Amino acid sequence: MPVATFFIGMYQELQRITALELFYATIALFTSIILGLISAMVFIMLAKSKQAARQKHLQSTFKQWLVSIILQEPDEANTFFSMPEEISLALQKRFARRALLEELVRLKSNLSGRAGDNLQQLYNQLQLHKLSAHDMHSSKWYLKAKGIQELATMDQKTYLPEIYTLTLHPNVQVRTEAQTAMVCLQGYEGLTFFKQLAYPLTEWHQVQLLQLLANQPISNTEMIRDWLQLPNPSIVQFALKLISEQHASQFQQDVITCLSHLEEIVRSQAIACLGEIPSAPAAQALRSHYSSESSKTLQLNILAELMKTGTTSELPFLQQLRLTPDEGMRLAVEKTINHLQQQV
Amino acid sequence: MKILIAEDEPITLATMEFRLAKDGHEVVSTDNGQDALSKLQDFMPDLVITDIMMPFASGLEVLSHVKKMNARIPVIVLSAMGQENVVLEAFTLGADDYITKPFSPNELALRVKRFSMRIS
Repeated sequence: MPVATFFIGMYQELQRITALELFYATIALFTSIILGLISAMVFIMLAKSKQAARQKHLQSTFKQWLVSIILQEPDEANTFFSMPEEISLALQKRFARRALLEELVRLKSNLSGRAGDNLQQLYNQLQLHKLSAHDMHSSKWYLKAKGIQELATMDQKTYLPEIYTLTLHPNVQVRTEAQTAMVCLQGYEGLTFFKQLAYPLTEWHQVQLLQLLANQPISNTEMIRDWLQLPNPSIVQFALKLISEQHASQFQQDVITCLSHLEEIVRSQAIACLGEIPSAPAAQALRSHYSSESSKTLQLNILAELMKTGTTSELPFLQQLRLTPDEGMRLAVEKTINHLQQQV
Repeated sequence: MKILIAEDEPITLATMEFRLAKDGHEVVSTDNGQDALSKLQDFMPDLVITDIMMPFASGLEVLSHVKKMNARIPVIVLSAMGQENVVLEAFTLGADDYITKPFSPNELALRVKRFSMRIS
């Protein structure tokens, strides 16, 4: 009952408040909210500018020292880089160690050769991999991805088993960063996670992986053949793109087999791939597949590939297609015939 | 040889500057494209090294400005991996050489030496 009495009392008090008093109270409330917001903004801005100034100061402190380390020649390079006292003191703070770590990673992506080796040696000497590993073990996805990227840039192969497990992580950013790291650290061998990967490889990620492998010729043909058999269509698509990029004609028969794949995306890639490794059997396979292909788009793709790589031997097949009832297809057929005849 | 370097990453810039100065070159550096354009007139370099991605004016703008000013001034373009199309555009605009990041400062010094011998 005392609670009910309290609320009744409150209600009676509120009824006594005049409209003018209510107006003033509202104004006071909003003014204090606005003042609170302004103070919070000023506080955040001051903190940010202080952090930026601290970062700038550290950057200028590190600058000359890092330049001297980067340019140390093999005969000058010791197993241990000396450190000025000012830097040694600064690096006792976690903030400074983080700033240096970020600087080293940024520089490593710009510099290679002896300069890159020296940066990596400094990273190892200061045991900055512990900070990267700490991030990798964080529960926040963006810190995980950052840590993985740092470890890969600094060629930390000791963390391979942990990075491998993250290639199957449910978060797409963490997963793609770990997969990229595996390729950075091990090349083709790093792609062993394909066998367990159930998630699709995005188009963008496929491009990234292909770029990393661009200067590495395919050495293990069996591995690529295994990828073409995997149930994950995006991996088969990636393998076909790789074959196209490297013009690896030794896989021609395997690519032809992919023309009868259940997934349209794979068949489409196989058609494009045969256009990159052209030969008489490839053209024959495209011609044979044409009539069994259910997708009109892919039929048009076959015609486009024949136009690109075909010879006059395709003409009898194309003449037959002139009778097709679809107007769009007939137009594409005519274009292909015209193009091949012009070549003659 | 008088060299103008434009690169927005300060330590990479300082590294290049220091390395080329060590070889006896007179080096002027800047961290943005717009400043590079203004320094071109004052410094009149014998060689220009420019990054492609820079604030205010891109490396391609610097390159086309140099070639308009004096087509005989060689330009080395620094590009990131995967910027093949931009490199091709740079060659169309008259770039004389390109280096892909990550690069070795020693390799850069060797390439500069080659241009230095050609100029002298």
